[in-house]
Amino acid sequence: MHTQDKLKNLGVELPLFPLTSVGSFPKPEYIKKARARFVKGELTRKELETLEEKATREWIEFQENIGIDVLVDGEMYRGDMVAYFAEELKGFSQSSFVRSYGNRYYRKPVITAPVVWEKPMTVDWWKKAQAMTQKPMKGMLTGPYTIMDWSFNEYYKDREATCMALAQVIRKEVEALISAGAKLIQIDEPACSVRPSELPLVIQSMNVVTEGLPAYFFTHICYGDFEKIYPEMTEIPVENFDLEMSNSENDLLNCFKKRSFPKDLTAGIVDVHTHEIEAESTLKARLEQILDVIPARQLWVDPDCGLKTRTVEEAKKKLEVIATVVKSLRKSYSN
Amino acid sequence: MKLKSANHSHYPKIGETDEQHKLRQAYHLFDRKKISTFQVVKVQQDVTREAIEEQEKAHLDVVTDGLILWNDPISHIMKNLEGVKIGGLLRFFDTNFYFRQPEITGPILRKSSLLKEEAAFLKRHTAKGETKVVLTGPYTLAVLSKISTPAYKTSREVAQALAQVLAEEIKDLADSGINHIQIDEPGFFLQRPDWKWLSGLFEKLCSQKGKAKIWLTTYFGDVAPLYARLQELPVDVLGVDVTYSPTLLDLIRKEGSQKDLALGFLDGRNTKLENLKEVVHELKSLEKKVAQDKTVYVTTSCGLEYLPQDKAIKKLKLLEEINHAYSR
Repeated sequence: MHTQDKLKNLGVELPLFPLTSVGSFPKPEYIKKARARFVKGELTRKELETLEEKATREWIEFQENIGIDVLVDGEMYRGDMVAYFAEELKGFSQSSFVRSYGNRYYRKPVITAPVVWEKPMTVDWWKKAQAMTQKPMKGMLTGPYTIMDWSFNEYYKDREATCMALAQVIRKEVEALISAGAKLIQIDEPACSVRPSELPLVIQSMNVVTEGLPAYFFTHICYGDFEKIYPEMTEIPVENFDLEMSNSENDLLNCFKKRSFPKDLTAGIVDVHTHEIEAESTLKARLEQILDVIPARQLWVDPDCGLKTRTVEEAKKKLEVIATVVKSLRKSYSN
Repeated sequence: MKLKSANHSHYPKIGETDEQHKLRQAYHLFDRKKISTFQVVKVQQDVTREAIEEQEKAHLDVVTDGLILWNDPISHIMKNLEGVKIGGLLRFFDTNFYFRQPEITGPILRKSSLLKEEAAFLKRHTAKGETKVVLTGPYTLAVLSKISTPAYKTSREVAQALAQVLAEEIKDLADSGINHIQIDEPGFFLQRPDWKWLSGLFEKLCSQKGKAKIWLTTYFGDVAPLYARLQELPVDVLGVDVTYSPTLLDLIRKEGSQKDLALGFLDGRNTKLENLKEVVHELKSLEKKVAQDKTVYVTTSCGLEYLPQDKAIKKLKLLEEINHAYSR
């Protein structure tokens, strides 16, 4: 089934160049302080959740105001994209900080026992967020290969066994999201290019997660060596690939020129690792370059990656400039 | 064979407590212009001193400065060279760690020493151990760089230019009294080198080494198929990642070694602690084939920054225990 038909069948109607976000937004100062107080036991979980809901509502209102089409909840209640799931699943223990780049650190989980899905991990938040807007809200998950690759493993015999066990638990979460009403679900696999020889494992495990389920699936992949896994990576069974394009100044297009991109593409067009707010002319030029290679009806637009590394102000400005440029592009396409 | 323990290269910059977070906090404040360069440097020095102290507490024979000032193994070397611009983020091999990709924009020149100050600090603050400074090798730097200048057509030409500037750096480091200089070349696993040409490249690098021992270290790949070739290169110590290679130890047991070896027995990328007896048993099994005058350095498979600090300390302690148990 063509990706557009799948959206239509799901009852999701979107404009040309749908606007979305990768997932995370920066936490406002009051959330950072509240999380720190919660860790020290100075705030109850309920009090923290009330503040997280407030921040989620603020981000949803902001996205609606600037005309984002498919919303995210901004992950005010999550820390790291792998650690969050490790904390919710049985079989993990938490370890201390490991650096990913620059001054960024994350808590890398340790698998110490069989991984078990005991209850939905994201469904309550998805429901709360969806209830705050009429626009579609994405369900946001991390894929089995990335959770495996970004965890220490002290239990399973090898990487394949770990990944396939995680695929079973992520599928249960996808099923729970769909039961709650989610129609668009993103399953991030940023680690998928790290070992090109393991791409079949990424595909096999994602197949376990998505096979036969009635939703439009995205996967977000970033900062990888795509040349080594393209075009085979498009066999990952999802409808939409959300890729960082601006970090490499659209270098990825060279791959797509050699072999056309067969699925929908959400193109990241702003760098999330710089304080600089890109000029409208820069984004327009990036999009025009992309549109020379990708058919308009296949193209969605967002930032390169989650915006949580920016300040609230920077993140908002980056999203605003994307929205302005895309709206103007839509006009020129409708004329 | 003699056994010594050595730190591989980098060491975690932060730990769990507020005090152990001081470097992260300092960068955060500096980024927001709330503290001065002088204040950041002070914290960097404190953390470097602590990294050296942890290695000395574990009685390592060879210590590094923990590469505390390095953002990543590529841009830290390349950022101060003329003819190089630092660009976007890329994943570092198959890790969840990122580096900024250099872009070669013109002829590569060394404006001043790259690591002289870091080396001097290491020497000043190392009480007992021998000192080791790490340099990412010219081959790896070249294959991970983007070329956008007519000055070089291929990564091979870039590697040759880099070997020239790194040879100058090695001379400076050797002159300053550093005992060991480690050249990291995980890039051999990205693109197989032309070995004859590579030998010339390493001759250039080693030509100015003075009294320092030059280590060639590979990791993140199965080194067994390259082992014979690596033995032919003009370096003093061959550093290899044992965890990636199911056949490497059998190969060493069969072929022996003409060089000192640094064996990465402890997995620098997994928290699980290795079995002390098994490692000592493996080391003993090498004795027949590794000549008596050769040194085997027991170490981790790669730098320790891929582990949380508490786990890194446990791996350092295990190195100490292995050394102790082996010598008993």
